[in-house]
Amino acid sequence: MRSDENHNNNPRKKILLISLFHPELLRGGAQQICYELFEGLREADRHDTVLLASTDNSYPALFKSGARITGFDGRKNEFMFLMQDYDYWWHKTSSPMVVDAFLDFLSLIEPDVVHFHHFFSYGIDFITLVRRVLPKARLVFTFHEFMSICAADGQMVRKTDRSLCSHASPVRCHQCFPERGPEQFLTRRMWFQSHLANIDVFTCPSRFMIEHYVRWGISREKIRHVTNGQRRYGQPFPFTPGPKTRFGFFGQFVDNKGVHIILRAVRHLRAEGFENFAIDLNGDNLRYASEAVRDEVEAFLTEEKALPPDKQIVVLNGSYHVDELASRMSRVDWCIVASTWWEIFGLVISEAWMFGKPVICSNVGGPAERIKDDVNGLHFHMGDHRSLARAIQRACTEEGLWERLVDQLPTPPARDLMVETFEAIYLETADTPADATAA
Amino acid sequence: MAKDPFDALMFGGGAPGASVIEGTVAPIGIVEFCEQAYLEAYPALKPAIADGTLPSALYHYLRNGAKEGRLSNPEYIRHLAGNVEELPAHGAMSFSVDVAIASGSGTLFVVGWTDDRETALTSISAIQGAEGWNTRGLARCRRVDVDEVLQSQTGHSHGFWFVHRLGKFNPQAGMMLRARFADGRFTQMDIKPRIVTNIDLREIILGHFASLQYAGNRDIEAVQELSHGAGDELLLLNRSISDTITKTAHAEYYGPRDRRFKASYIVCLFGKIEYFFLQNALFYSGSGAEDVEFIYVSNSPELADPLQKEARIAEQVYGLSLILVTLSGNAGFGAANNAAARFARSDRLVIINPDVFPQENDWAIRHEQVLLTKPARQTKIFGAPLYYDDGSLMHGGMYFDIDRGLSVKASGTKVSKIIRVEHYGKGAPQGSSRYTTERAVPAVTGAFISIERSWFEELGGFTEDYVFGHYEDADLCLKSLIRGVPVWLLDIRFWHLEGKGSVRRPPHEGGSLVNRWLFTRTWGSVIEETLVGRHPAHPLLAVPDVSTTGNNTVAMVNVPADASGITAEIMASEADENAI
Repeated sequence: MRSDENHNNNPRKKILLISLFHPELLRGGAQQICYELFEGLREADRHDTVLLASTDNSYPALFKSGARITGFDGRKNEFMFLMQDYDYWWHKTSSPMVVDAFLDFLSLIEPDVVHFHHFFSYGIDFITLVRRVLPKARLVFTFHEFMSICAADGQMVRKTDRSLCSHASPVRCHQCFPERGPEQFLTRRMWFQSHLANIDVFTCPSRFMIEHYVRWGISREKIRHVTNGQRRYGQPFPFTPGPKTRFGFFGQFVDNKGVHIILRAVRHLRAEGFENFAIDLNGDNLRYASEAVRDEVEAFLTEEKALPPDKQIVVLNGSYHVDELASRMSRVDWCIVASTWWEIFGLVISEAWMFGKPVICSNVGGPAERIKDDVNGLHFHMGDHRSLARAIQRACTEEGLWERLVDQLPTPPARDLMVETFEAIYLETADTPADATAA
Repeated sequence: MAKDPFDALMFGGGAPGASVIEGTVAPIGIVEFCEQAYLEAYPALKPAIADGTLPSALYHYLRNGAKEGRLSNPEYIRHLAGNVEELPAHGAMSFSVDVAIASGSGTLFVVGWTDDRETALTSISAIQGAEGWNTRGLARCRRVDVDEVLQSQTGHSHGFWFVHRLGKFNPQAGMMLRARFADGRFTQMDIKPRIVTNIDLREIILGHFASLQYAGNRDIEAVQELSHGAGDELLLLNRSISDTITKTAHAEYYGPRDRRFKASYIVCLFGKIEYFFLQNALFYSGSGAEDVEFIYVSNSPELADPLQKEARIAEQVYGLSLILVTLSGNAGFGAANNAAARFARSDRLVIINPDVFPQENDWAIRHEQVLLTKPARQTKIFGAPLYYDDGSLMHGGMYFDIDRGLSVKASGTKVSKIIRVEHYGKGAPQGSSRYTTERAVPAVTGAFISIERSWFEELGGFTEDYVFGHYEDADLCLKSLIRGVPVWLLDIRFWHLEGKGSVRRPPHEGGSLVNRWLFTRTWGSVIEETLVGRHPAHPLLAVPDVSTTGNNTVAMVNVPADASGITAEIMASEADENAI
């Protein structure tokens, strides 16, 4: 390891970004943002940045015999962490070889800053390990959902009735997991908090998340709001007059993204005789949805395909790469974010704004925080397809609404701003705290 | 066990293939030798014994009586059977063995039933070749299936079971069982016990014991039945298992090896591995933790490999000092902790449960401060307040009470007593100091006991006779108390997820009953004299009235140097009278 003097005095820091998954292997907002940050830091070239991204067994061939950490596709400073023997309840590996490999990796990289984007797939105890072997390193942790607080995949959606959960407690959590006693949730909280206590600065992409974490036990002084920034994928399309009746969904077809709520709204409007609109579904991973939602979506799409083309409202376009985003966006006037959980940020909102599309969103979480109802978008009641149906109908029929909302669309948060904000956090000391809030 | 005892009744009883002989037959040699009956049958020997010419009746039997067939003398049999006036005519005795299991090292376990409503089953002998063994330590229980067939409505305990060491024993060969009844009749049959390991046999016996039914109060009756001999035999079996297991204890060291520590925290693991890494994280994140060591002793051999892996991870993640002691089986809480204590590298032992976690980050410093600032008499052995996950108090010391229950037998009904151990203040609000006031208490839970190592060793550590776990903690505290050192409750706070540390199976329930019997037998008289209730009168305790005051004044009085001797005397005299 390098001496503490070198660590502290060299203005050019070595930054290790630890990401759950690599966005090119498994899509998801957390890994996408981490990779944006990695690219942004590398482009800025004020520091040396290394990315360690995990992968599960989706690509078994990447698991080279006896290896726990490898390079990635011949790229400089990008490494793969090969998940092994992972305990999905306690979030730790039970393989000492994996721990040894990570320790060895740290000693080779010698980072001044370690920025965790999640702990999932590595283990929450790796934070303590990093703190022990790199006592002077600055440790930053970005929350991408609520997995520390909530054992139900970090969604804070009650398994009892799918309602939003306001806070965790041993008895409330036991109600979601009747097979586990309340005391297991006390130990779970103590376990997570004991490791997170080693972090210098936490960041959240949305302000409402901060309140959840402060209520859970994170010191307000240690937690900052740093909005997710992205590079600009495109520009707003030239205005074309006419009705704005085309809607797009972009994202994963999993329960909490609410694609089934959109389909119920379509069914509802069709039953009312309102059919003059179109919905494009962009995305995939329906296989990760619950059986009930999967069956509902598949049944709807099967029925839809059986209709004559001029009667079809919903079109399934399938998955897309970011390079195809402009093309997909060009086919819609509005984007719908129908999430049924505390959607923490909604990258698709930023992407919609890049292309000049107003967003209709659930009235909770990050989307509700970012979008002002009837000012630069529309809200509907989370999980209520009738409420969404009314919003769609209004969007299609209210003259001048689309133009009014588009005029007020914010500039999507830029990657450069996110990079600079994080750099300030990396460099800040106890005496010179950075202004970490980026709008 | 036979599903339907009716078949056995019809055909005269016995396990499949057993040959059964009913009637009055001669006792089987030395196995059923009775000194008193022999002298009554041959009174001419009495003067020779009185003047010392003959050492004993047994000596005479071995020298002359055996070859002369003297045990076949009806007079001997009459006296052996309890001085019945006349030996009965031949008559069928309903007697059946459902299960016969033995360990290779020679402990026999037999379960069966008998209709001995008119003349009691008194002993059972096992004969294999020239070897023979006899036991009167028969435990009885209710057999609803037998009651139904016999249409017995008397509440008679038709079931019986016994455990008996056979000593020299050929596990490959069968043996003959002979049941003797009070009127002198015998029934015998051939059996071929299934052979299992000692550990399996213990599981089977305890599981069976836990499942038994009784006419009266279950705990009272079960404990009573152990006192006829089955309890002692179980303890011997259990002790031989523990001794064998702890002799092969394997220790692995993680972290610095050649250093001394301020305290050694000993944790006995059983069944669950997650408490290992949870404690690693939650104890080692505290300040001062680097000055203590943890010794984990595992009673779960199936966890050996994952525990070793976790210990390697813990060494890397936390940089901790840890000893992992692996046992080849479940030696029980007492034996395992004693084995672990031998590896300690400090003069202070802290016994904690795996589901105990610190409430305060500076737990290690607070413990050290307690040792430095409190009077030595308070810290020789002490416990701490423990809290449930809901924040309420789980433990503010322990006290003793007595359960009185009716023991129902055909011969009559009597009140029997067994000791119950209770915690002060279970469920009390966290902020309440009523039960957490620093004071001397009758006992503290083994979930947290801090004890001077030399005192622990002087007390002989935990008593290893208790099966699996339960009551060793109270036993240790009482051993200390009768030597003049009461245990204190001092203010270092911990969580305790009581009862969630491992899965309880029927053998554990059976073990608990055995332990309750043993604890009652060992300490019943002592407790009954001065330690009953929430406000015991014992002079060394002078427990403040926890229901009204926080006064922690303790009256120290001189106790006799050999307090244990006095206690033993009390026990002996009381035990006969009260049948605790």
